[in-house]
Amino acid sequence: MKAKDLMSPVTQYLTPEMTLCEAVTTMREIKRSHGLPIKGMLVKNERGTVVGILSIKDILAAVIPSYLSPDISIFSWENMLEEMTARAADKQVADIMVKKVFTIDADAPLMECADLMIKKGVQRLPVTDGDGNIIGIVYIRDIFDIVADYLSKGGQKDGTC
Amino acid sequence: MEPVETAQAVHTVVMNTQFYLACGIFFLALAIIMSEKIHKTIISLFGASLILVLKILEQHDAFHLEEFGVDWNVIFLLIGMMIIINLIRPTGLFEYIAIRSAKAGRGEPMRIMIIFAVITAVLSAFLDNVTTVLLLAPVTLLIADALEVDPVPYLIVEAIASNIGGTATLIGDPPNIMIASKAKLDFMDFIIHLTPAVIFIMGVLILILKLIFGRKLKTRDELKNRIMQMDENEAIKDPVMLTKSLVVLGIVLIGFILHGFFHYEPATIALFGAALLLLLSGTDEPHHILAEVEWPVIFFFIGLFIMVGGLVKVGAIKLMSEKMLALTHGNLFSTSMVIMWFSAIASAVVDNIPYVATMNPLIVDMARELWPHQTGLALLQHPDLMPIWWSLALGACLGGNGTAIGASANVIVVGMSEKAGHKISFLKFMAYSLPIMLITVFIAMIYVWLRYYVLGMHG
Repeated sequence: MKAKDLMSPVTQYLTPEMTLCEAVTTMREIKRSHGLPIKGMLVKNERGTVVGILSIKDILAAVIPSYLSPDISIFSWENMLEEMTARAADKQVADIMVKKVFTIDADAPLMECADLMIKKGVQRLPVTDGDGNIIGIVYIRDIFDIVADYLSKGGQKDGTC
Repeated sequence: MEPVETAQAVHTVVMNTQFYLACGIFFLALAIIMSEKIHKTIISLFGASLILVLKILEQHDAFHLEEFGVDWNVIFLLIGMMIIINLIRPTGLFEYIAIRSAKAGRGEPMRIMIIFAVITAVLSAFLDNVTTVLLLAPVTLLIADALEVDPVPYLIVEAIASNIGGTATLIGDPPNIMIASKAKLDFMDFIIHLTPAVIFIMGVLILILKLIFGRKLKTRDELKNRIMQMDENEAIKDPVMLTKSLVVLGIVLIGFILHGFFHYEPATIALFGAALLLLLSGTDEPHHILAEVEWPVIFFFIGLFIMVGGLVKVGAIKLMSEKMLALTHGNLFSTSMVIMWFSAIASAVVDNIPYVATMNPLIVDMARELWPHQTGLALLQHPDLMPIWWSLALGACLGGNGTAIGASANVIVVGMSEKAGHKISFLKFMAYSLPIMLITVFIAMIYVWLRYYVLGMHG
């Protein structure tokens, strides 16, 4: 199996000018074909170029003040998360998206996809054709399902692990 | 022409070429460092390597001679203290102190600002200033958010207080470490001569803060409660290591107080403390701790020492010291005042480390000029020279407060504030810091004048 056999189509993009509020609204409206919510989207500018990727992790990170660390966040107060979210609300997608987008070739084997995801700490990989155009996304969940299927088949004959 | 004369002429030409090369390398390096186009450590090492490649200094001079070479006492004192701090930092001691201080201020913004200024000054007197602000600024930003007050005044005040506090002791600020090593002064000399000035200056700073912010900083009672509900004990992550750290810190402090008496160099004390704490920590991975030493700073020093060594070797420093004496007509009171103000202004614009590295041999040369028959301690610690060393220390350390780039602590604070979404412009920083710098140097001037020239308390 190759990346192109597992990828899902990309139907919608975020734009760099969107506020966090607009971005989360868009993300929440979209469901993947099997009904699961989406946890990351590509960002495309008005010229049609993909300029970044935004995941729910990036949105959480944008809400956390830069000075916090586990040494200090033990002293945060009850509604600090809400207060800091309000403060971050008018940040733009362009400010917080990850500009370095790791992509994978359509003909790449799944092992390469899995390796790239784990080593680079990403949960989705845009799939590119020979000309570098993005033609879909491979999600970590879908690779996991394949691994899980193999694991359960390779278990005991009576079906237990 | 006689062969001897030819040889002499060649020698003079070589000396002249080397003179201009050494000066050219040093001042060009300084200009590039100021422009911040290339990292200062790289420039410093490259300049130093040119000094060696061009044989302005032989490698042996640079590595092994006290007069021209690297001051290893400074290098190992810095490394030792950095290792100690790197081992203590994860215990949570500094977060504990910061939260405890905010609670001692009962959540009152003004009171917290003053307590933080004092804590910063005291910590900076014993740790390096950058470490102090790096440890305190995050907690400050958290507390400002909790109280819904502007963190910017707090952060600027902390940078200022760290530069003032660092002036107080031998280990507080790199200029003092360098001066102590050059003039063979001990820890207690600094406590006796500089700490009183710093205590007085801090008192004045607090008065100024009360005047400026006394009415402006306000918060609501329910927000104060957020501070009072923080439990500082949660900050302590490794009580066992904390106890060991405090014991070693105590030993190091006693070592510093007594090092002059027992004839140990300060670097010996710091290295012993570092090694002891490494041993007690039980770590089997010292490479993490050692890797966290600020190597760029260490190599910056090494490069600078070699470049300045080149200047000494070619006689450039001697020339400058003659010019300085000519300027003040050999009057030592004017000399010390000129040095203090010049140091303050220079340190507000350039890094005070290269500045002091240059001034140190200059002052020694000046002393040789003034008292040609004295050598050793009698020369370096000549009673009439002492106020000049103190003026250099006070000027160079306090001058760092002049601008946002005058001291590393300022740069760090501005950077952290901007990352947290509170941009501090160059002018905004200066609006606070320059008047305070001028006032503190003025106080230092009065202090030196009164203590050494009116009351004559040299000892």
